Amino acid sequence: MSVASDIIFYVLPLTFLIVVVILFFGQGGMWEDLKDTVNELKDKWWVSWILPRIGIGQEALEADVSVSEEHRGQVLEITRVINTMLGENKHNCFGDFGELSDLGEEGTTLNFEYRGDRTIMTIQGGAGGQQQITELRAEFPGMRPCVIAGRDELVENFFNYFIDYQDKVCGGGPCYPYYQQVDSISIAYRTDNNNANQIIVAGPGFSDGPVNDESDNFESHGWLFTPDGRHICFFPTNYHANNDEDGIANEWFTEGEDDSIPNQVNQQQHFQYCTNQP
Amino acid sequence: MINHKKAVTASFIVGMMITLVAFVLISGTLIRFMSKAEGKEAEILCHDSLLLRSKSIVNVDHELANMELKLVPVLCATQDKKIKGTRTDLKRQIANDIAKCWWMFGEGRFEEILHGSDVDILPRILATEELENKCFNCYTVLVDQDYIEGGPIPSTEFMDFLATEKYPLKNMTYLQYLQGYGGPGRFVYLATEGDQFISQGILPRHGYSISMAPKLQSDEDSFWKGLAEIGVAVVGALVIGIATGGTGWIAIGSAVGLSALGVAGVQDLKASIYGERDVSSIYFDTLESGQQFCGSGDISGE
Repeated sequence: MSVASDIIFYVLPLTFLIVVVILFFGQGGMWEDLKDTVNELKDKWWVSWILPRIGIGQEALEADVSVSEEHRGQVLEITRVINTMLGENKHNCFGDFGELSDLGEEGTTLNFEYRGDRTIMTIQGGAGGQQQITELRAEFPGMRPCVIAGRDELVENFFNYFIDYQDKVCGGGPCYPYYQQVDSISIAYRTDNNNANQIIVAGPGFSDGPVNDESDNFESHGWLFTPDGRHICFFPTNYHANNDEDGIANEWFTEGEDDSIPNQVNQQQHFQYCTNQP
Repeated sequence: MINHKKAVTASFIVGMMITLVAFVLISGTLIRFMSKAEGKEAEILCHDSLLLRSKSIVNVDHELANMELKLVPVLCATQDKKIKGTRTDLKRQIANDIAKCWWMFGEGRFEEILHGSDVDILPRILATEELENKCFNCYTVLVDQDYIEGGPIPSTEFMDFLATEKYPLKNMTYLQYLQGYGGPGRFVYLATEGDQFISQGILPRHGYSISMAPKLQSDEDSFWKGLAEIGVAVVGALVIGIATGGTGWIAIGSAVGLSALGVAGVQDLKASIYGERDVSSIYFDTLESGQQFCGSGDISGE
């Protein structure tokens, strides 16, 4: 029975296959006849009107998992700067990764997620901004993200000490609290409100969406701050007040104001960059 | 001269008839071979049949009608696997199966490859109508041990594994391979604790499904577009439900206002994800859920 079934299901079809191959592709086979016939038909004017257009095969899709060289360089610089700010001997110091260019609609997104004992930075980009650029992923052991925003009192405390330099009020240092630790931070280009890079924070005191809903809320020009070498704080910004729950006014991150953070740090008036030097 | 032409025409018709008969018989033979193929053979057969299927699709475009004909059957069968080993072994085995499933289905290059033709030709061989959501369970995986060292593997740990460990066959991370080696792709970790928005880790004595869902041509009003509009980043790797021990991965949970999308609960959310794909996707889910939303078994016809 099994021999008979083998003959029916294997030998017979294979024999047919061989016959077909010989018929079509053998010397003077039908394949050449068929091609000649088709070529002759193509020259007739009525063929294109009567016969349909026929395409064979599906076009293969291609992925684009990349970010621009400019964004890649900036992400690597952020990674480098954060690493210089982490460590036990870092206290109330600053870092600056430079201007972050427009991340673009459906472009690049930077995510910082706190995981208990570390923070993981992931980068989205590629086609539609939907791919994760795994080679730019970074882990920061011991880091907890934070922001200078979330509560009026907190931002005011930071402003009074680090910009206004009221160093006598709380015993030679800033009054507490002056930073807000958070669970995650996203930086992306958004088109709600103004079209610009915006910062989105998840954690106590923050709702879904950008930190403020007025306009560009991330014009701190790459400045970061750490109070203790473990918390790395980003600066959301606002347009209308020196300091409020939405952050510090953007002008305090430019050189136009004498007491701005860049001027204070670059001139080493009271505060400094974080460095890896002891 | 006229007699010669008649002879040529007759021989041509006979030749074509022989070809068609041979095609049917050989299809049957391939399917018979397929039913006996296992493991690597079955994976290669599935991969090759889909490649041939995509390359041989006939698009007919005419003033009166347009149609797409798929002339090669899908010779794929769900493989049931039992896995065991250390924590890393388990992650590696599941990740490898995910990558192999992606490979079998053309690495995201083909859209709607599991859809049938616009015209039924040999429906018992070529049709894939029985496939739920036109997606397919490549593997079912049972964690065949009573205990995993260090406890259950949280979804975040497994996602980290995919993002950081290299797939040995391609010398890139699993996630890089899934997202962009061929066409665009997405991996979604769908296993949840029953109907709760809590991500289920990989547990001993539990079964899981690894499914391939090819891209759909139309993504109008898609779930994914809606998700992006309510502010959830739609990226190449997602977790459904809130993972214990922090999220770390873009998580779709009740907290993001899914009601705005008309999604009432976990099952509703899964139905949307399985049913709508703007890119080809690999889903990792509980066995029950995978079998509910995706087709399983031997889809090479009867």
